[in-house]
Amino acid sequence: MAGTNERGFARLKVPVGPSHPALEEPARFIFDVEGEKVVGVDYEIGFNHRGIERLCQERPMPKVVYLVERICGICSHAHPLNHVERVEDIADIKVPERAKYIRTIYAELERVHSHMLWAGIAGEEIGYHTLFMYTWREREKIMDLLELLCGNRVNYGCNTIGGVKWNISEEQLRKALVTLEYLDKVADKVTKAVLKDSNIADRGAGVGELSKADAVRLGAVGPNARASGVPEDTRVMCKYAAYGEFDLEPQLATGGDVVAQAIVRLSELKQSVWLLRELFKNLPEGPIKTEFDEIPPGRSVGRVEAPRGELTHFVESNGSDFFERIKIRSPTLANIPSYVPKFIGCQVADIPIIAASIDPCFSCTDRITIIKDGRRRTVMKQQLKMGRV
Amino acid sequence: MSQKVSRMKRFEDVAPVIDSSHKGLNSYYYIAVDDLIEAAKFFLAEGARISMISGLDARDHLEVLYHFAIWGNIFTTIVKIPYEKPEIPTITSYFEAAILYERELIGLFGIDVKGIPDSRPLEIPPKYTDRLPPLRRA
Repeated sequence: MAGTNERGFARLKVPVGPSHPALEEPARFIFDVEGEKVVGVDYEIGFNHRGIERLCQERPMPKVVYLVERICGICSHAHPLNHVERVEDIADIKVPERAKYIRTIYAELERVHSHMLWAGIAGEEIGYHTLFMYTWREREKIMDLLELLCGNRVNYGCNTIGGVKWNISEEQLRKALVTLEYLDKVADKVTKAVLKDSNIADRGAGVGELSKADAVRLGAVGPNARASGVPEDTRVMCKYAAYGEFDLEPQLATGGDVVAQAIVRLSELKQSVWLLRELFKNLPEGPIKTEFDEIPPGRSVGRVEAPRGELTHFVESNGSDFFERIKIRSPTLANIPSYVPKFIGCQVADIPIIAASIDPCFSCTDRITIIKDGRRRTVMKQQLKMGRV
Repeated sequence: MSQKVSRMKRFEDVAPVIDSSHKGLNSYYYIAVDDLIEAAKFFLAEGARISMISGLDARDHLEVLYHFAIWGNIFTTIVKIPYEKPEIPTITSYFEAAILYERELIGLFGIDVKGIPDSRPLEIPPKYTDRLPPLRRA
């Protein structure tokens, strides 16, 4: 029969998404399948493009910090941290040591809650709901700690050009150390629950493999690359904020499959809890903000390690109150090409866990679309303000 | 630092540098569009990774900035292209990861990337044609 392989299976196209393809964010995958086996894949992103890079050029400088904070609900510290570091680099602003420590504390708390969120989602995708319930319950402790420190659970509003807004009091420090002691035990327990579990070993070992050569060739970043053995961690390489004060090792695994992804993220969880305790214990005294006059013309590009990997920002100022250009490359965009070797050869039933394994975040990746009378229109902020849509 | 300096000396042999500046971990080099492929080959041999490609509308011309990352440093190679003929060659033969960033340039800046294996604009709806690309100023 024409169009079939030697076992009699026809080659079919299976569209997955754009709505809810295993995760609550839009991305479209078109799989070529023969029977249960995936033999080809194409992807489409951009369903949530919000035009944030353009909006950044149309707002006065201090407001841009708030805007970049709202790019993503999980990396809501990594984006503004990178942005203010770029502006400080252009204007040569020296940030006080205490502010650097406080920025690092928020960055690590964000990593802990993001990795626990990932463990929960990964458990849910393979039917291990106990793990989902457990990690998300314990994740609330970190959210409570963040609320204690800054008053917010999602957008912390911590970064400002020249330092941070929220100081840490003695009482907050004492309470944080108690929570971190508890979280250290939780990290051990989650690691045991994931790596000693036979369900995860059965469903995850050898699923979504990525060789080190492919990871380098396709430009994978963050835990996704480290799970394939690429020893790149921006915290170690660039030593931004207070990371230069601590000796960190990139956490590595081999193979890049779901189990390797879990090993990397869970080791980082443990490492982050250790680092947080060190940061709180060694928090230097002093001011938390430097005053500055103006932002001169200049450009700066730099990277920070968001929970999902290397986040790159490019900022160009022209001496006015508005930025000339802001370009953002989120870690998920860099990780999308590595989906192709991961999916090819897998079973259709493994698609959700592979899609979730790289911890994708499409709100970071796509950055206003309005649907009116069934037509999609891309609009700008001024049009929205003037009621022309 | 000396390693960085010797690397850039070798780079200048490969692609003539029109203008350059350095600050902290970053270096910026303006080169001609014709030398872009040679620059890509150079950075591939040096073990660099393409971290990002940014487009920039400088009001009288367009600029494309290739941010190559080698460990903690970023070497930004910049090419200027005229409004009338916004064309650049693709570097996907050397850096496969560059394809999504080049597709962004096609969608958001209307730049023609010659030789790209997949020229669908990224992030922009297919019906968004015959209009000014979103990040162009005029």
